[in-house]
Amino acid sequence: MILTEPQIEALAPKPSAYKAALKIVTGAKCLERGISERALWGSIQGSGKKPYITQIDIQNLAYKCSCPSRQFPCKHALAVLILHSRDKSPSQEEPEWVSEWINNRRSKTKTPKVKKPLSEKEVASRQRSKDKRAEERMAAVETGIAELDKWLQDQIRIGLLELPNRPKEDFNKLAARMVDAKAPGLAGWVRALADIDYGQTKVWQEEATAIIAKIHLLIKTWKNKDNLTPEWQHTLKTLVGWSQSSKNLMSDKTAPAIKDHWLVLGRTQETKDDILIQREWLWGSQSGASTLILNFGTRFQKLEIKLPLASVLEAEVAFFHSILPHRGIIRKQKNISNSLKHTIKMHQDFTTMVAEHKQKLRRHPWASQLCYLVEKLRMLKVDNKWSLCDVSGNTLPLNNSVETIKKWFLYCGNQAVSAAVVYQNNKLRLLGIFSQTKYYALC
Amino acid sequence: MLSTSLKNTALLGTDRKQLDTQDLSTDIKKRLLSNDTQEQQLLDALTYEYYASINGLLPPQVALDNIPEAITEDKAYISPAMNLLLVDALSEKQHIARPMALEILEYIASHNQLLRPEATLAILDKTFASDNKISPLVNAAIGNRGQKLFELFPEMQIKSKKETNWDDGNTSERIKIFEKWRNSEDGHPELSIQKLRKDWPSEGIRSKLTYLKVIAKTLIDIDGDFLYSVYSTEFENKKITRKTDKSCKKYLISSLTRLNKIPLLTEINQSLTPYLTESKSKKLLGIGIGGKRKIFKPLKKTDAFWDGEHLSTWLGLSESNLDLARFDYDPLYWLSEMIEVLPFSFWCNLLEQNATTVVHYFLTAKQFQVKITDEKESILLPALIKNAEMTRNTELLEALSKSSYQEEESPSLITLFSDHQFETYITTNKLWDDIALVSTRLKAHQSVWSKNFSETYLTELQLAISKGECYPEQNFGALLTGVINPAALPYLKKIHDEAIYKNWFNVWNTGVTQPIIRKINLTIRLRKIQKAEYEHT
Repeated sequence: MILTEPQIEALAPKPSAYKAALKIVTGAKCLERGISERALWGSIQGSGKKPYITQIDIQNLAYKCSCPSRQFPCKHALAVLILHSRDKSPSQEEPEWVSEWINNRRSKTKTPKVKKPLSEKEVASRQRSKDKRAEERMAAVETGIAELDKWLQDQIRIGLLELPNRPKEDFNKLAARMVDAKAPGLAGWVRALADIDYGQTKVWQEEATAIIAKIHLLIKTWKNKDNLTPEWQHTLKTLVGWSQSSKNLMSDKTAPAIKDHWLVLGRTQETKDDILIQREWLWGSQSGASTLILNFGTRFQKLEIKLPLASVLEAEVAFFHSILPHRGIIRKQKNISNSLKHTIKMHQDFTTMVAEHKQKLRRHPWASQLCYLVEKLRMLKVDNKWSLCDVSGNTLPLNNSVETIKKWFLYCGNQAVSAAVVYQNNKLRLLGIFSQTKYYALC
Repeated sequence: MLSTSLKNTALLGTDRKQLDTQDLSTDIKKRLLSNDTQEQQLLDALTYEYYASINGLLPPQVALDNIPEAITEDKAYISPAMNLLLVDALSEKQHIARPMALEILEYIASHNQLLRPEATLAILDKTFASDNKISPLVNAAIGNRGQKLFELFPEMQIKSKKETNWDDGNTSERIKIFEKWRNSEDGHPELSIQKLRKDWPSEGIRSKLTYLKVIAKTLIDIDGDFLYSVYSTEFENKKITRKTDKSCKKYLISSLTRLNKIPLLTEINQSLTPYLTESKSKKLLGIGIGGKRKIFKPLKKTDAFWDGEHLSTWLGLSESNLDLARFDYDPLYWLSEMIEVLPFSFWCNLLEQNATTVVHYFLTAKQFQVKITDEKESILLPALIKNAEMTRNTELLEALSKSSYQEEESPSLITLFSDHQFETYITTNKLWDDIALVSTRLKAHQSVWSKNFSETYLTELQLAISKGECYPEQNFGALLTGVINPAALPYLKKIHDEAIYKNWFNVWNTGVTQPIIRKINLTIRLRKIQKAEYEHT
């Protein structure tokens, strides 16, 4: 595995961590360093007498360091990665402390703990409790859905013009009741209504209508759920708030999965209600499939960034059950590299991209964060908004930070390039560009 | 997006406006259930229309000739290694980052190359990119694409100080131009006086004072005629009352007496002689000058000479700085004012002593000392420092560097010392642990210290750190990187290695050694890259 410095920088939990790592590198504090097929390790002189010992699983990125930092990767791990990217030392035998850790990791991921077999009685009892809990939850959700349906009808009766006058607290109370009704997904929709910027008249009316339409469709579909396929029921449950367990998905053999060389297209992070939501988009270079990897962090549980931007993972991605499988996890990972081995198929213009998007919305009307690859795009301002334009002159506005726009001009000089974008609400989020044979993540 | 009728009903509410199904499309109408409530029907219709709208939406089109031209580059990019080096250097503190960036950018300019995108964004983020010295290099190195960014995002534009024209500039801009003309090595002092002479009558008194201060600090022979004409027409033998006028006169007299343009010094010498006496010399500074020497008699009584009005009219002195806690008697105050204004050589001539002895006398004579909160202070020290700041008199600065005095009096004085004077001053006063003072000096002068001083400084600084007397931070270490003599680096390594197991090692390592090591490593990398690129070509 050879990561480039921009990729390593993107792995840093904070810009300051990367800066600190660079200082370690320029300060020549790395006393020892080594690499094997599976791991990279090094010892770094810190402020104490004993150097910090850092090890990195390079096949399935993970870090371990003897420093007290709670950031992953810490500055020492980043420094070892940078040093390796600059000066590739030949592969050597792993020291014992490295192989022990790596073997431990491999055994954990491969063999689930053998549990003590349960007696028939115990199985039946557990199943009864499980069924009872499921029944109770379903009843609570039904109550929540009924309340939300009534609330929506009330809004329509008194008029949506009253929404901007409604105190935010009202929305929050309703959202809290949805959480009490064990339907946190619905609570999210209600909060989305509260978060609209009601200062912009035209915009809020469109946004509110869109959210209300989606909630209403969800409620109506929910009422009809017994007539739907298990995949549909699964999708609806996820939308309402049944959580999806990555742990279960790891061992779920029925879940759809694709083995491929996955290109890491981009990463975004946003904080909502004190929770850091991280989205990473991957593109299967052979299959043409895309996936969204979602991770969540809190103040107490930091996010661990494992996927270097613009790198290619030889891995199996497992998808959560859905009518349109999109969100996934990396189940098995063999290798990370920087070279794409296959030619990737792309949309020639926005017309075909939009057509594909419509098809997907028809299958899954609530689908979001879907990404696409489109050829020969240029950037321009339309109605004072930065937009991307395809070869046919179709334009779509961008929903990116100014920094990404600046990078676009510096990296490609606005020459027609292929790009990875997320298409949502008729806007694009630019993730990166393909320039010559390389992919550059821009956000 | 929604049909107007449906939208209006949704916005106003079904209480106020009934849903008119006639306005809906046949497809939607068919799907609405007649036994549903008005609200349910409206929600259904709204949902159908929303999804229909987003499904039917095609991206808007623009004419292809409206798309701006692609921006191409005609120069080659810097090597990835140089690019990495610059990014690394820019992640350092300013006092390491700036000189490294300058050197790299000069190299890039000489090789007619371009910065890569990552380095472009990193350097445009730095405030020093706007420095007059660096901004032209950055502008050349960012290429057409970087320039395009300036066009698209004007806030990114490097704010290099644009050259203001003397004739168009406002007062502060003109003063800056005037200072530049007089200060820079390739400046135009003749032009400065020529322009000022022309515009002098229209200048306000405050601007005049500022110009006179600048002239006093950068005095040259050709200033004499202009200064004398101003003095003779506006100030000589004139009773002036305004504080600013007095200050103007004071600066004029200071400059004119230094240039020997007015015969005032002889007159003052004669006036002061009656206040002098001869005294048996004690050992001064351990030098042991024997024999008689001239000193001031006790200055206590006010008389016709030590009269405020007289001195104000004659020399432009002002009583506005009088601090009663320091000056027990008026003559002492007026003497301090005269010391500030008159050339230092005048006092050496008057007292018939060399500069060191005169400074020592002024600082230590009993009548020139006062006790403030149990600390002995010299009442003439501020005047000597002001004189040194104004005249940059080498002998006076040399004498001050050898004397012991409270450095809080004027940290700016430390920036006036020559390298040798600075080293003497720090050594004499044992100011090894005064990080703030040394920082002030280093921010103004980044010239390399002598090997001996570098080694002594590092030893003493380490000692001060070990005693917990100072805690240098990375910024200070970054400043030191520019002045520690390379020949002292083996010594630094030696004392660094000896300190590894001390409990204060971290402070020493982070604040002193690490920044120096990082700077050295960056420089070595730069040299290696330059060598490799040279060999390659």
